[in-house]
Amino acid sequence: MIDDLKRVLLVEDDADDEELTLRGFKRINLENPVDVARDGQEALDYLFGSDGRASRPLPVVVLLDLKLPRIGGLEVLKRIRSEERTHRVPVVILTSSSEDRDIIDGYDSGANSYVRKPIQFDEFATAIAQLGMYWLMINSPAPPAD
Amino acid sequence: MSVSGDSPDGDAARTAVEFVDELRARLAEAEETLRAIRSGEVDALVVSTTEGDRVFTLHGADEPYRIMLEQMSEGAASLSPDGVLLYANRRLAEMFAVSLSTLVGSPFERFVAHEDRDRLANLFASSGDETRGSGELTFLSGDGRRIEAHVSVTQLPEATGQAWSMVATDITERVRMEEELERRVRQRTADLEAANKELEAFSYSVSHDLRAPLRAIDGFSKALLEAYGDQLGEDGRHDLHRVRANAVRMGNLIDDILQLSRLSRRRLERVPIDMSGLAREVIDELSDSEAARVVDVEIVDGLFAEADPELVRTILQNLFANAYKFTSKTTCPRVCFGAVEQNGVVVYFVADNGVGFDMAHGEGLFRPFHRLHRQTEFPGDGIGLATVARAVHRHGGVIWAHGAVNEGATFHFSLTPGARPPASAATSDTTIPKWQPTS
Repeated sequence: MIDDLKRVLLVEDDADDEELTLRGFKRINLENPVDVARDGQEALDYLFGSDGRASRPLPVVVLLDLKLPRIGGLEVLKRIRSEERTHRVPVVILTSSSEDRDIIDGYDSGANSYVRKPIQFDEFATAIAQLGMYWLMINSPAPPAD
Repeated sequence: MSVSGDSPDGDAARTAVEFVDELRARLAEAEETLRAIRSGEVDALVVSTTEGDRVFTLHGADEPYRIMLEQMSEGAASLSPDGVLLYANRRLAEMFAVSLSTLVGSPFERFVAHEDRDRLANLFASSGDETRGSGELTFLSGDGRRIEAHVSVTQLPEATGQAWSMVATDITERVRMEEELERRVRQRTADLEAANKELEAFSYSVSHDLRAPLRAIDGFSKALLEAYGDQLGEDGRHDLHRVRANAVRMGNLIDDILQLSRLSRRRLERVPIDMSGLAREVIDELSDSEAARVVDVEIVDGLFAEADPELVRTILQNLFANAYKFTSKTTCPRVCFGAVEQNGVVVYFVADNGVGFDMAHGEGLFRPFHRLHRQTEFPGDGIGLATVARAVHRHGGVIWAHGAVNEGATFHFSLTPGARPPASAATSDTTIPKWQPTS
């Protein structure tokens, strides 16, 4: 029952990447809900409850793209780390960029992991599957603060 | 002739002695005058004659000097110790846009810009043996123009009352050109920095935005194959595989372009490198990924370099990968890594016995996207050697190649400045100035 509540937040503005990521999850028969925020503001609204659903539990992992409309991924990450409610939520940067600068800035801002999206779907699907397995089944999230 | 005594003869003798004394005195005077003339102390003589005193100027002696001073294109003047102009040539009067008569007798300071008056004082401050000075001053002319000048001053011998001579060269035009040049350099630097920023933003965008559609092309082709592969038939599946292969190829191309652009931006870090060891490592990786190939590899032991390890790895990876690729149709393929010395500079080389290339087409060898072989013969994107050349140039080194069709290729490169490609070689000419003699 408890496991049913484990949610993933995918922050992704590209509809194709969103669909491919969801397909990747489906391949390993992951039943957990994946919520999608399509820009940085939507992600912050989701996490901080300004969209009127404040009681919802935090996701066990946030898969965060860097290049996002309105509020960029790094800014979203910094806000997650600076708020009491969200500062222990695992964040995986999932991006096309392999620029050293982005990787360094990502870790400096408190990312738990940095994954570059492969172009080949087989590799991409494998990466998504492994991320899902690890963060949903192997990793223990911090207990909810109350 | 006669005997001296108290006789009229005695008076005559005395007169003769006086006459000799007078002659001696006049001789001494003449000699002194000559000495004075010779040493330049005198420029006119007053000679007493029966008709009164006559002045003889040493016309021939100073006329050329005066003409020279008047004709020269520099302003010239002499100044009293307290800075009053005693003499000035016409050029100086022109420079200051005042008449000669106004100039002579004026304090020189009057024609020097206010902010430069301290410099003027320093220029004329002689200390000890230091009786000359030079520097740049800004003059203010009578008609209000500012004139940049280079000024040399010399203190004249004491006999002249410690006056100064001064020569001033108008360098206004030169200073203006220098300022213009500086301005243009600043402008160009700013342009270049802006272009670099733009390039960075561009390559970032390429890395992020160009890859996403490729992932979609590959991903949805794959989905189509999985869900409807049976219905597509063999030709349909073949076509979809072509689509996917090209998405991957374009992805690699994007990655290679990014690596090329990153090479120029990375900071160069020199550390000691075991080149032979690194070459062996790269070859091992390569033979792992091309397990089916049997290539006879010879790596000379004991090669070292002081260079950027990541860039050198890129160089070796590309050169060895090329050597492997272009020997793929050769029976008994061989690859060799070694070094030679040229003008005290270590020049490394990678040689193979593969298909080689026609030296007639060698000039494009190191240009990005330039290829000498057809895609179907030897696949590639034409960025490998451009990347190698850039990595070599970042070290201040040079790279060149020799080859012949079906007789293999040899690539030479250095990782420190000083080596020169032979005239016969194919080079990446971007950093080799045309005037540099080739050995």
